[in-house]
Amino acid sequence: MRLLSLVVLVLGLQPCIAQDLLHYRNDNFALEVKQVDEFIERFNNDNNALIRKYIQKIDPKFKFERKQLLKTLFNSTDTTWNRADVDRFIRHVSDSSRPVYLSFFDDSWFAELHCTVLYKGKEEHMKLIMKVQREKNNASKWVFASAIANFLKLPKSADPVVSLNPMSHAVGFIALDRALNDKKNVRNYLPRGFESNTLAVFIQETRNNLLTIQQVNSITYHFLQAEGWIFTLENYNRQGRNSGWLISKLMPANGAMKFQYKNDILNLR
Amino acid sequence: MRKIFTYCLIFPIAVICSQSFAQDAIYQIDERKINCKIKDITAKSVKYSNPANPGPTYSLDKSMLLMAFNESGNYIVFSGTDAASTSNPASFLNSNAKRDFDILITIDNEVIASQIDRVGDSDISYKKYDKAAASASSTPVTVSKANVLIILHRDGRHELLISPTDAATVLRTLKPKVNELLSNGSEPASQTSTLATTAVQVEANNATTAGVANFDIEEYRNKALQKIDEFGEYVNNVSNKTTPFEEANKAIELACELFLNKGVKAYVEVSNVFTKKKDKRLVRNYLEKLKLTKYDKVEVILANIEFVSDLKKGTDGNYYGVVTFEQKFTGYVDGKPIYSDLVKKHVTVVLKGYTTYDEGQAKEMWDVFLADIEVVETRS
Repeated sequence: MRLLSLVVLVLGLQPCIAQDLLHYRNDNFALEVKQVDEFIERFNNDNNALIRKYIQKIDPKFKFERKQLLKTLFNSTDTTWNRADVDRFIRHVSDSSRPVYLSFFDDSWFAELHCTVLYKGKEEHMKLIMKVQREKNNASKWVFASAIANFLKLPKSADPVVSLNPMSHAVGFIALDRALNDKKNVRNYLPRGFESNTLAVFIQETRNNLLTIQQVNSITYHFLQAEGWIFTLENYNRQGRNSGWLISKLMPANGAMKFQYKNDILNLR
Repeated sequence: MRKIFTYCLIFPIAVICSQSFAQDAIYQIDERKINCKIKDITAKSVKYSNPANPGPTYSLDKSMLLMAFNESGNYIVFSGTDAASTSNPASFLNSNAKRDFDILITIDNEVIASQIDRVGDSDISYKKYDKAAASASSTPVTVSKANVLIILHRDGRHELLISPTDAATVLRTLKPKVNELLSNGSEPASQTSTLATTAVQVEANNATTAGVANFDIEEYRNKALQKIDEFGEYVNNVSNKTTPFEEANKAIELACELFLNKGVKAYVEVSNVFTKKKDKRLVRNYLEKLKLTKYDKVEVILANIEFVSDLKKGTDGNYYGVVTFEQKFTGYVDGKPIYSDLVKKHVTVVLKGYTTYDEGQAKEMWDVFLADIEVVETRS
């Protein structure tokens, strides 16, 4: 009976049985994916995974299957999962002849930080994309990879016709100061298609004390490590066994689509 | 056009140009290049010799490497677990087939089989090469050098027109396309994936513990939990009404001692699962504020389950991990519980090495310190 309840508990399908608060929470807490590192160890079905130790302590005969464990790593409250994709992904990842594992040190995963910032005295929201960078002597660190914020982009021009006239050269570009002071029409003085590097602007404004981080509201992790797939990870901070860092989105993606994803979604140009 | 422009932003102003002669080359993650003869690639390391002094064999941990080229121009990218992005080391080592075409990799993600006529300062002139017909078109094409990222020459040389780090990313992403052209040198995908992922596992395992003298993971874990317990006791003392003021101050000092650099930069951030507002304080300020919240008695029950992450080495040489656990806190006044909550805590634990001298002998030791703490109130 205990074994059966454990199986269901691992699969995260059974509603909780009323117990004293702490014990009830222990079950939830053991099953909750508490850190991204714990997600990685469960995804990889690591022999030292906490979930293994916890359940095998209660039932030493309990047999872990990677497929089952992978299923518990999806946000089960989302009813819009493409079941075929999920099954295909799980089969692909747990294929014993060519298993897929995640690595913290891989450069194909990114943290998207949803931040509240104070910019020129006004509260704004922006995203920061972070990635792990490996360093000498087996060290590593998180670094800013890009910044996404409309308020850091150049605005559309107010008047599309003002510009430096085509004979400006003949008068020694005398009106350059007029162009640079025309703050509502900056784009008119720049080449077509110009986009400023938002991360560079972000850093510059931070250095000038015009922008300060108030707090990180939430984090989404983007994993591009698995061949043919992209998935995202979000923290479902809620009561229950299917909680913590869980897969929130899954999409098939070939190399070109991943390249595009980095450009379009993560602003990694 | 837009793509071209974006790339101009990625690889701005000073384009790094690296051209190499046809011999093996390894690029390290700090972008240094080693011209060498690669002898073996294991799950963990790359073994190589210096062609000028072929006697000794050197070894580099794969986690320190970006990529390697062999003398036929085939390559292997070490970062990443994506099977499409890596190669079978055995196939890489054994592939020495010469090509009769060059490969141009452009900023538009194109992998072009070509026969290059000229590589100028600002442009490259080539003829498209039809691999099936084994012949080049008669029409010459000129492409701006700014639009080309990498050239893999038919004689095995490679030319990077962007930084090695960027080149590794591009080469990994486009490996399937390159493999199509180097079909003799490609390997079955299944083999690639297994080898690549196994290597990464080994890399990851090693990266967590390498370089720590006298280090024991279980000892670290116990010491970390012990320090967290100690911190909890000091918190209890500070927030307890019966604790004399001076003793509470002493408890704050002792609590700060548990932190790296006495906690001068360590944050305690308190967030609530039901609200978006987070409250962040330096640890000393957090404790000072706690001193003002008085209960006759506080009770802290630590749940048995805790998650202790692997240790990862920071650039300061210290090792960082995070311990997650749950605590039930109850504050009593006049013997009655007036406040209770269940909190989840994420505590950064730092393993710091130091050297002591025992009778003139240097001894490598380590200790555990606490750092930033996130407290998530999960239920009142």
